[in-house]
Amino acid sequence: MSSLAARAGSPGGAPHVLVVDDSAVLRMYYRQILETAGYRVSEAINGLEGLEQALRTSFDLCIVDVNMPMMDGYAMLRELRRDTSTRSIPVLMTSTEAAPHDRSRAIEAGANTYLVKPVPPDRLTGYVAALVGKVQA
Amino acid sequence: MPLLQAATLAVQDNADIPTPRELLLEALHHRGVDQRRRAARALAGDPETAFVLAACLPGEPDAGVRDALFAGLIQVGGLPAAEIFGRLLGSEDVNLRVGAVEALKHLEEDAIPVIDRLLGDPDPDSRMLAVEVLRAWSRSEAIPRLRRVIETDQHVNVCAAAVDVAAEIGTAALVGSLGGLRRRFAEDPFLIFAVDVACEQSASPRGAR
Amino acid sequence: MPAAMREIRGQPLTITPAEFRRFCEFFYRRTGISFGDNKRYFVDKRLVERIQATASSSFDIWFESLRRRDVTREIEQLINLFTVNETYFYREDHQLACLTGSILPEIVAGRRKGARVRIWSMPCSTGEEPYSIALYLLENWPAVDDFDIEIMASDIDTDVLRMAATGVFDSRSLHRLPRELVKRYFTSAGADGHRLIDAVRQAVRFNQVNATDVAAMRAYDRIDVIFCRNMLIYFDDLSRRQVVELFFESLVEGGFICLGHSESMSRISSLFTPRRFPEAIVYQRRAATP
Repeated sequence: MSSLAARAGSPGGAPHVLVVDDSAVLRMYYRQILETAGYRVSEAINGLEGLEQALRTSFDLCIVDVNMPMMDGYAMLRELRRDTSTRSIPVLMTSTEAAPHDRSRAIEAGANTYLVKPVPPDRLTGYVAALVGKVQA
Repeated sequence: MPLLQAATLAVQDNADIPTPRELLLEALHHRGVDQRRRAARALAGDPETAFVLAACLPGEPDAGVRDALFAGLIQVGGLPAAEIFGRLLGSEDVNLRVGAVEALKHLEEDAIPVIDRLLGDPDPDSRMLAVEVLRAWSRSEAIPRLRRVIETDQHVNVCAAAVDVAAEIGTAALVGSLGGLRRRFAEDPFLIFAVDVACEQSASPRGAR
Repeated sequence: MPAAMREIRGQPLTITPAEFRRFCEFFYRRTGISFGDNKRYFVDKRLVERIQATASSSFDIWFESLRRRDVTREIEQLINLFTVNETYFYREDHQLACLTGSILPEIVAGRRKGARVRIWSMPCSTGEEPYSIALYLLENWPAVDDFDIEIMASDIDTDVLRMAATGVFDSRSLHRLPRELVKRYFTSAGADGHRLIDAVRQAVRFNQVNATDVAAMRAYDRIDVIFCRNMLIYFDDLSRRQVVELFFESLVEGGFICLGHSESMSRISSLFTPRRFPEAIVYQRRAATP
């Protein structure tokens, strides 16, 4: 379900995406793609920072990598689903792991979708739009 | 006034009495998380029990105990610890893989033989994680290895990991190799983006190094 | 944007955009503190200061020494330059509001009247923090009379502990306190400033503690709330993790720890669970996974 209708007309109302990945370059890459597509972007470097951010700010989507120090993507997802304020946030999980069991594990853990890195820009924006809606030009 | 007058601390009488090693080893398998964690801390740095700490890692569900086990092995240090962590890089468990990378970073150049071996591992995931460890090294050790990966590795994610590290620590000496990588993976938008960032951050405005 | 210009061997020292980004990413990774492009001048100026202070001939050489693990003193210098480290009464009082509005009600739910509540301020510095806790509880917690409240305060520095025990503060320390509170809880100490009334001064127990001294830290147990603001950020990774583990062990299950506003457990340890309350995000010791 898109939150776009709820945000239409509100100042700074573009959907807000949280990118959680320990790679600085990858966060820059997603930021460039998503901001160009009109989304607002925040970042976190590991699952615990991502969780803190999600508790503090209402995000429309979290893009969460699996392999991160301090708190990995699965643990962050588990905590998001545990807290009433973050339970329903759509989560797009990413990883370099391409085996089918990795995908099913992510979905079973509560991810809405799972993408294998590196993610081409169109694929990323396509999935983001599917989860939170496109930003009006 | 409900605030108590100066609180008295309870000093634990047994605070300084060392626990026999056998009891600590038993406590590593205790049902209680606190007992396991304390035992791991108490055994930290003991080379004779390092293999036991290592053996506890795969089955340990608690993050705090895992941290203590890793910390204890880091304190052992040297090649023995590096070998243990190197083996964990191939684990199915993401916590162990990531914990091993962070632990290897702490060992710095003691881990060189293990990382050199892993950089040539047939498994690209192991190579990718080994590249991340280079971030903690001096440039004199890291840059030649990064160059080799950038110039020769066939797997896009291993190369991407090398480029990410190069963005932080790279010098002008890597710019040529990064350009070659950009041509090799000309179809991959992320690699191109990453290489451009790494080149910009590595190139010295005051001339090549 | 004016660059921070200094000269080193006749060459003006400037920080390039790429160097700024490289530094920011490193610093963010290590400390969780981030700077936007609008902070260029603020950051550049301080980087130039540190490059000069360390007699480094370039940003590159300085940055290489910064990121090597054995030079943690340089990280500490940077943190000092980038964060404001003064202490005064009711500093970051949203956490005190969280204490009385959210944390303590949860802690004492199910506890009988007269039960003990233990709060630990570490590091306590010159005492403003633990005394602030005492004052805030007296002024703002409706249940303050229902429980026996112990406030413990520790620091590694005996000089500051000595000052704290005297309970004497200058006007700068009191600048955030409403006038009525100053009148109610302080008497004049002449030229020295203001003295805290005995009843509050004697309610805080001060002890010297080195956070890395395991035995000393283990003397603190069954603590309900810890205030550890602006200390952990100065330790290296491994020591910091062990200190947090000791705090974890000192807390009751369900107990809380509050860090400084520019600090986050995300750079330290996953032992604690972040909890969001209306007033603040704090960290809780949750029951262990068996």
